[in-house]
Amino acid sequence: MRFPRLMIARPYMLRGFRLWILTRGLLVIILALAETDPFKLGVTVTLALLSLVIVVGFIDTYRHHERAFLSNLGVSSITLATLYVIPAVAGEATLQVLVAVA
Amino acid sequence: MRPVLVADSVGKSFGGQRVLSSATLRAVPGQVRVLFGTNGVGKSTLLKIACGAMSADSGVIQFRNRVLQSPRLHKLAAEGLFYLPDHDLFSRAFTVRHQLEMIRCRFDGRDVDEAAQRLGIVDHIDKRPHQLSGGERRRAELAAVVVRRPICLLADEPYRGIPPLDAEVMTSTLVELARSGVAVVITGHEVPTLLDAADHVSWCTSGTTYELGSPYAAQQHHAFRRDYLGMWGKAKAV
Repeated sequence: MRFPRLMIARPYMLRGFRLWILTRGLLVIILALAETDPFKLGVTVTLALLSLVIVVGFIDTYRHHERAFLSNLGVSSITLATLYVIPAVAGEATLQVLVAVA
Repeated sequence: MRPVLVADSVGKSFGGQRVLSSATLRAVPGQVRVLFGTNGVGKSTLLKIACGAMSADSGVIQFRNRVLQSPRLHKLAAEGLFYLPDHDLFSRAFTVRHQLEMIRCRFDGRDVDEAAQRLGIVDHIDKRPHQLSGGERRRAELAAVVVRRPICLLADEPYRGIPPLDAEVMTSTLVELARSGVAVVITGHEVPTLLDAADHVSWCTSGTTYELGSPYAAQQHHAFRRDYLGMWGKAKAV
């Protein structure tokens, strides 16, 4: 896998970050309603959350008709999934550190 | 000259229905090759298979003298192929300029403003693709090709729904690309426009392809005139 240049990577990583905020926000609401601590997630739930970010990212990619464009840039599906998931992993890690400190 | 891209003896079925049985596509540097054929005959499918956007049931794909076991568009694109699909190429999320800059940045391509000037989209370059008319969008997509400087271009129906003035700009750009050494393959139904641009004509019919040769030779081909060109071919023959 060849990581794309920053000019290409940045908008997709930003999108991944926005999608993580959205899905994490929804998860917080759902877990809060279920009276569970929304900031202490198990490994399975965290992996499910990251997978969901990738899936929603791909849906967004198809919604914007971007597959041909990205392929012409030499960006594979695996690279795209990586671009979406990196901000989510970073965000989740930051959140866990903040919860631990607090 | 040796073809840079060959899709040989390609077969493809959809849901048990055979669309292509033994079709061949060749992209030769310095040539504009046009693939004609009626709707649903498999032209777009052949192009998609040749560029790795779709897998074939049978056949061989060669790119730059290498036989590819499982061609993928993103890999071929990194090696110099550009695929212009029949629907929109650009993302709706970013401006045309942003996307042209992405291509320039990725492939050390030509100047974006120069390409925009060439294709007459200077006034539209800071808009998003869905804010452009069909003709403007098609010209912007061709600007992407100019910026990219590919070694091989596969364009699926690039003239569809565009006015004659835009078609002229597109033809001159495609011919210019070919003269600079790019291998260009186009599909479409705009017979006079495509024959003007073509160095070589292929005909896709009944699941296979026929190499008809020069545009003049194609117009003399009896079955091609009878089954594809119809009245237009008769008029030209007279």
